[in-house]
Amino acid sequence: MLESEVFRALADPTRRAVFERLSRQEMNVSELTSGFRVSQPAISQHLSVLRAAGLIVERREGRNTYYRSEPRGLTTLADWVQHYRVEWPARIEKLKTVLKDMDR
Amino acid sequence: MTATTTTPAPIVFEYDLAEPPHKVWRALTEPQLLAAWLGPNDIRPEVGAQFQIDGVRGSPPVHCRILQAEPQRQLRWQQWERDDADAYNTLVESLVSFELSELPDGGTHLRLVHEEFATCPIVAMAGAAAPSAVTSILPRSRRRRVPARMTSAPTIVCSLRVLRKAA
Repeated sequence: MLESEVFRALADPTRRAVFERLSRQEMNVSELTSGFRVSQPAISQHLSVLRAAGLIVERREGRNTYYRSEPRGLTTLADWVQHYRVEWPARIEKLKTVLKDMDR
Repeated sequence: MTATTTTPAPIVFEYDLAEPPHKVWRALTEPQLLAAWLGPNDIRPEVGAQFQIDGVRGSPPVHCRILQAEPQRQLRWQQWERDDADAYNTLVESLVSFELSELPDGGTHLRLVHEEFATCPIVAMAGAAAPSAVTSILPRSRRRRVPARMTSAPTIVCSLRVLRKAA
């Protein structure tokens, strides 16, 4: 995804407010709308822009759709550390090759 | 705002390399050499210098800032990455250090430490004019160039914490 898409999505103050509310709590469209002086169709439109930019995710439950933008916690961090645990030795092997080639 | 999470356990790797420290230093700090094993970059081994490395974890690029640069001895940078598995809503920051020492045979002992991993949500991206996701967390000198109307936006807490510590 392009960063510019993200910034375009967040350039609108209402959209940014929607995004921030969803980072605290999962909500459906009507719950979200109650906090804004904007119509429900307008909120839906904002949600679709945010979703297209990959900033929020949706979950369906019966006839309701819930949206959220949730930061990931400690578990994810462990995944990240694990990634580097594997990645660094592979990179260092490449570094060794680079060092050998420098001799030539 | 959601609290920052941190993990205490650093990951450490140690290697004995055949080449002398001055050569290893070059492979760490010259853009073309670093690119050959880590990824395309615009590194400058000066304290405070900011650079980017592409392709370490696919996209987007890793944004870095040099905290320490002692030729042939130590290179240390702070890095920020956006988490693509989380729709880019999370920023992961961490600290990478390379410590070099000369071995009796003229080679180099390399100690690589990757630590202080922390995540925080990106609720800070201020507006369309921002050139990159990390503008607001990068050093003050650069932040000053951000238009005034954007500075009222919330900032990313986790990085400010580390920048303060580094200062």
